[in-house]
Amino acid sequence: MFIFQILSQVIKAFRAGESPRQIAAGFSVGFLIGLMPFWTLQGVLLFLVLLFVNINMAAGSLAMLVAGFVAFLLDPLFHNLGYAVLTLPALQGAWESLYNMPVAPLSRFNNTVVMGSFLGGLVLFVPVFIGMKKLVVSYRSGLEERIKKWKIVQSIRGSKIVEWYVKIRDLGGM
Amino acid sequence: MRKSGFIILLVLALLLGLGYYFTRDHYLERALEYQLEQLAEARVEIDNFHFSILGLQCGWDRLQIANKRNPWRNILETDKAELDFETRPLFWRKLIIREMTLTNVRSSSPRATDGTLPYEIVDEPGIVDEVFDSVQKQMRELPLFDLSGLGKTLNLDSLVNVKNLASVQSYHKLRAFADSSYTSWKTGFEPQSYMKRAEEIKAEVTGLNVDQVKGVAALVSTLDKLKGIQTKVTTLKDDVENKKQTLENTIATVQGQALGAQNSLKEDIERAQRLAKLQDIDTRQLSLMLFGAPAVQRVQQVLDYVALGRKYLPMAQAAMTSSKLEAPPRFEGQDLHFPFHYRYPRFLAREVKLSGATAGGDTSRGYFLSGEIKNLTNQPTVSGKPTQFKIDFQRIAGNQYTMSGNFDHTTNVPKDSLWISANNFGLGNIKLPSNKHFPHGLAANEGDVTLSGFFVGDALDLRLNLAAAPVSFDFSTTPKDMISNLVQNVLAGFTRLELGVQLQGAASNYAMSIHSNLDNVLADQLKKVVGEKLAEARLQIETRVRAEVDKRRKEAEALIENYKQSLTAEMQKVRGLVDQQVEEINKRKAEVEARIEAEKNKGKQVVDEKKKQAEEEAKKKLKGLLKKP
Repeated sequence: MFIFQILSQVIKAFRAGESPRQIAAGFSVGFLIGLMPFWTLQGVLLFLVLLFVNINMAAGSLAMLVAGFVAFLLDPLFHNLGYAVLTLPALQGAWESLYNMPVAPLSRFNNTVVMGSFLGGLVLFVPVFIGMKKLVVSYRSGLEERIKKWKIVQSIRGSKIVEWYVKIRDLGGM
Repeated sequence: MRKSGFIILLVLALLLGLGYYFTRDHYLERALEYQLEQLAEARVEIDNFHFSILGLQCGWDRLQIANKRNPWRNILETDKAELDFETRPLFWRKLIIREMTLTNVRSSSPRATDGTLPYEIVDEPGIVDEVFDSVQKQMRELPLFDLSGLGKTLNLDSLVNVKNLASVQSYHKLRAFADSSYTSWKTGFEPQSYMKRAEEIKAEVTGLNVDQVKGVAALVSTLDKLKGIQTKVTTLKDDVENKKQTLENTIATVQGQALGAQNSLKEDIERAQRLAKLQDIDTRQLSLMLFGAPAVQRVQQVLDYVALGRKYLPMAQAAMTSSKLEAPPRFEGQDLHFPFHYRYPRFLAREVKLSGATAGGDTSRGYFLSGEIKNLTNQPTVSGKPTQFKIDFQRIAGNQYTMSGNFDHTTNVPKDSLWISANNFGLGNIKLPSNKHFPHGLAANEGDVTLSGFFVGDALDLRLNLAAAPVSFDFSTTPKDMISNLVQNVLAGFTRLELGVQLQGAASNYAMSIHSNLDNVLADQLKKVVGEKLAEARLQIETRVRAEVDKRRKEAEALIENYKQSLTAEMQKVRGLVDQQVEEINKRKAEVEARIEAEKNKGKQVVDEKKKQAEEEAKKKLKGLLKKP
């Protein structure tokens, strides 16, 4: 149900309300959070950004789920990337200083997967933002009608699960 | 800025806070109990654990650690405990306790439940296990001190079982060896073959009819034949001489074995004397026999502390490397470590203060405990400082115990030292090992003990000195024999006991020695009284064993001599015949050579005469020709 709720809110936001920029920013931040192991300093800080800054939370939540799946696929790649960066001779001094700072170890930057996924997320942040913004604009300018005609969308909309969800939602006054 | 964000955060924080509040202490308490159970290998119970992240403090109301050897008693129990953390190391997830205070520390307190763990912790054997294996082996190998044989008439027939004597068995083996050697010679020697060859040579020589040979040419031909026969007889002689040498070697081997059979005689005598319970009285053995077992128990308690230190204060390890893991667990990655500028081990208690009292309520009987432990850590190589402790137990009446130690595991070779001193303590009743002559127990009212132990790697040097007075030995039964009576009388005169225990060694080779002021006195008295009887009984056994062995020795030697004579006689016979042929051939050869020489001379003489005659005739003819007409 939670996933339907998120999807429903994302679709609502796509149609109207928040600006494409807000939706794209929410999705990008959520994507970055989802790509990394959550219990790190930067993970918590980004989550607070998602909570407090006026960006779309539903898009962020959906992005976290999507990115979680992407992270599962790219985990070995992130490990290799993180290892390469952390063992780069030119950066050893910087890492050593960071390692000896009181708060920095809470970021778990010395973990290969944390470092790799964070860097991967940063690199993907801008393309994801731009791509999502364009998608929202397109959706609002006619893409929605075309999507509605897709057989797969029609079959999902007509399915029992969606019908039950709508009934329950309407009962709850949502 | 979104206002609803605050609400969401607030709800989340509230949920997390509530969850943490209700589960934190229980979770941490159980985690701590588990860690301590691994250390103590017995049940650990903590009551009312509390943790304050804001105050950076934690503590408990009561801690019980069961004794793994006696699970219905606690090895350690404390009341309130308070711990202060250092803030800064927590950023690196290092737990550094600035000060830890444990109140009312006591040991051997009774438990309401069984303290045995439901699971087994398997320890790898360490230095302490090796020490105990060595010492237990030494104790097992101690001879049984039983002189009861002295008081009885010796039954030599049962004590000296001839079949079991190693010397007798050796002579049996020797006889078997001599028999098989003789049989082998009898079948392999075949003197007839040598004699046949000698007869053939003799026939050949006879067949030459040397006396009837005439003429130089015939004589030379006979000489050549004789030389051929001489070669044959020389070969025969060499064969016989080789066989003779082999026979001599075999005889020497058998005789050598006969000498070796004598070596077991001393062992046989000692074994029979042991069976008769007649050993020499050794002062070192006396102390080990009397005080070995209780000393091992006390030393074991001390070494357990060292074992604990060795187990939980690990030695320096190789520097952490960051070689890449090919496939770390998914989503976990690999933590790489960089040079760390702070000496923060994973766990460090900079100072632990202990205080307590036993026999609560009755301060005149109870011990007051005070002490401190410094630098208690699970990574001594990181902290760079040894773990040190000093604990004092004191009674109002004046009894005092002090225990201090230094566990230096900051390098690859652990260096541990331990000192214990106890003054005016009550030794109580000590059970001594069961022996029919010795006391069953020892009671001492007051005593002083000092112990020092040094452990470097797998080497140790531990010394324990005890002086107790007044002491009394417990003989639960009235003496039934002369030796027990003597021991009882001697020990009754002792009111002071001075005992020294030393345990030394390295690399699985450890030995314990004990000396006391009883040793020489007791041994001298025993030797004085039992010495003559002991010597007499021992001689009786020795004579009997020697007689039995001598009998077998003579039989074996006679057999060997008999075989030797028989084989040597046959050999002599063959050699005589061969030598006779050699002599005959030499004689014949010389004879033929002389005749050849004579024939040659004779021929020369005829030639010379003919020559002279011709010269004479020639001269006559020349004389007629030279006359003038």
